[in-house]
Amino acid sequence: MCGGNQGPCHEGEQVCSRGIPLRGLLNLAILTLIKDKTVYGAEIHRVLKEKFNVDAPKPVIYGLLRKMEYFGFITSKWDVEGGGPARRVYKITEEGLEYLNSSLKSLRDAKKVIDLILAEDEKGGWLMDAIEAVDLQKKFGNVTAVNSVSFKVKEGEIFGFLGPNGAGKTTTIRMLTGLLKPDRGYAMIMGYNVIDEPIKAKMLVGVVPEEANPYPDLSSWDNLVLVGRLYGLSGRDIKDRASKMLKLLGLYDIMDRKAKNLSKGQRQKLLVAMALINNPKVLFLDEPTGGLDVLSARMIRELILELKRNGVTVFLTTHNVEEAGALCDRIAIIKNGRIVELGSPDELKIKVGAYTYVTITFNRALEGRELVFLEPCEYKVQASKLLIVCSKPVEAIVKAVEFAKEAGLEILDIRISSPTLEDVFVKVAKGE
Amino acid sequence: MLKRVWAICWKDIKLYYAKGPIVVTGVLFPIFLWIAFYAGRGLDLREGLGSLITLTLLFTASSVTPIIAPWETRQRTLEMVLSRPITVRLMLIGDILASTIFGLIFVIPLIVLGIILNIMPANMFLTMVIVLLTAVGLSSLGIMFSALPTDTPADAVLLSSSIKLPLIFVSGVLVPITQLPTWILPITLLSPITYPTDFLGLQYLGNGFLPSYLDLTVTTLFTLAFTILALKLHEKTMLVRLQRR
Repeated sequence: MCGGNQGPCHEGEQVCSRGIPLRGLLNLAILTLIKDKTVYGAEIHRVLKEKFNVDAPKPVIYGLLRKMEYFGFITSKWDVEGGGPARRVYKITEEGLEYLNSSLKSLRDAKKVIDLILAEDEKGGWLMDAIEAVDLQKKFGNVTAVNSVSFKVKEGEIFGFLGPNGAGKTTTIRMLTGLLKPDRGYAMIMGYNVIDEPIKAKMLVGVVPEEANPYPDLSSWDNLVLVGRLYGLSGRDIKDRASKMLKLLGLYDIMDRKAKNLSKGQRQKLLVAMALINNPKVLFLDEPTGGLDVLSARMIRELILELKRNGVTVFLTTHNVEEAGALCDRIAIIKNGRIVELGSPDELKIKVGAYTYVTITFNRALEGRELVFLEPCEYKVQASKLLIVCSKPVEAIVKAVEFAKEAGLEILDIRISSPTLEDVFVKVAKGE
Repeated sequence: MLKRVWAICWKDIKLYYAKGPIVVTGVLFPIFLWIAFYAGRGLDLREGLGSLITLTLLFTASSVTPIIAPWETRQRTLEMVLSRPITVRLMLIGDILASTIFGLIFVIPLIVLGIILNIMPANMFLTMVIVLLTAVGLSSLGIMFSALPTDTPADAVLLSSSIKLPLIFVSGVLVPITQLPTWILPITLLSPITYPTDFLGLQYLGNGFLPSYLDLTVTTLFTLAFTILALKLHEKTMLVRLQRR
């Protein structure tokens, strides 16, 4: 993390407290630099402070990503430093700096800049999609494992990917992480095409694959050193981060133990440590808590939430539906290679029409009584308990109260169980 | 890029090469095989040093490379590595580098032993060049064998052994080329270790079957061909290998 600032960043990159990378507000920072002692710079600085809680941005080098058209008046003063069409990094030239200096002659220009930037912020335009999958398809022989899968994941989001076994989750992750080449479509990670620019994309990514292991004959430490070197980290960085990760995950005292001698939970934690050693911006977790004990699973979940607070984007596949509901901002449900539902957990519950369970306990048994008033809701009688499955619980309760009055019954207890994500998942998986 | 290659090289050395059985196989097997053919005929080290060097390279530089990819496929560590910022190509270059280093570690003492015993090659620089080229070429040959999209190391070892072992007998390593039957000559000329063997014979004994420039050129071409083929074959089969898992 950048010293003193929140959020992930590359060296020299700053972020504001909302976790929005300042590269998206790059012009503001440069303008502030240039105009620091003028009224125009003060105005911009005020907006930075008020709107984005940024204090005195430090000198930055890189230009605005992807939105240069909004600052067309200065595009000619920028050298393209790198990146493909979807992600262009610009470095302002000396000439450009002079041009900026001379072009902001009035407060009106400064306001124009501010308005543009605020408008973009409203639209969320400054936030690059961390993951973008477009029409991904993958076939194995005659079997289409993934069929026209498209979605976007915003930076800092925890995105869940649920589906029954064989739905295409792992194949999708493998395409997103560059292990498999899609037969159709493409995937972008932080603006880098995974197939065309795999190294650049993977440098920003940490992966805990479901079907992968650390080297069993290397110690935890050596596994971390290996991965650190693959990410191009310096020896000192590897040592610092490896120590930090091992301590965080409770593996420090056994760092010299060979991976084959670790328990399943410890091996899983080691894989997580290996995925985090490079401070990734995007983390792919394929069944990270599978087979773990309760404490270890909880620790991983808390770590995921901590990563989100630090602005890391997490792509999570899991069979634990409730875990997905508790962690994820949005969930995609995949079935037979296609995304069938996508939304936040609450949206899915409403959209899919999962039902609420109402349990009413009466003071006497209900057997033999006609309960037609509850139709079309489904219901079940168990002695003095009435279990109602309905989409409108309040209506059902009102009807039950009226019934109780007419029948001379007393209601002892009413319980409402909200639909769970598991209900949603089962409904979708069964194709209801 | 170099850091990534070195990471793989370091991993291979730690996992595969710095192991007793590999070291013993790399040292003992060629030495005893050489002894069986040379000492038994009353020939001294000078007459067989070139062959011993080639034999040692054959058994060290291509001993482990055939099994790395299948073994790591089975262990599910290959996917773990390839999900990091490294390409298949760089990974294989790291494997070739480790194998080359391993081969050189066992061959250089032989050359030094020769120097101590006043058995000097005519041109030390060119000798080292061909030793290095042969080490890289044989390492790449081993990598080629492992391109089979299998997770059973024995499959690759079988393929490797069935090609390597006959090469020993047709390449002038144990039996001089001039003493081989004429009908074997076409096979001899197709063998990649014929040329370094012949070149080293020329360097240490002053006589060779082929001109030295031809030995150097063909060795270089074989090395380039094996390296390119190894990289291409693996790039083609790697995804099949991962898909099967």
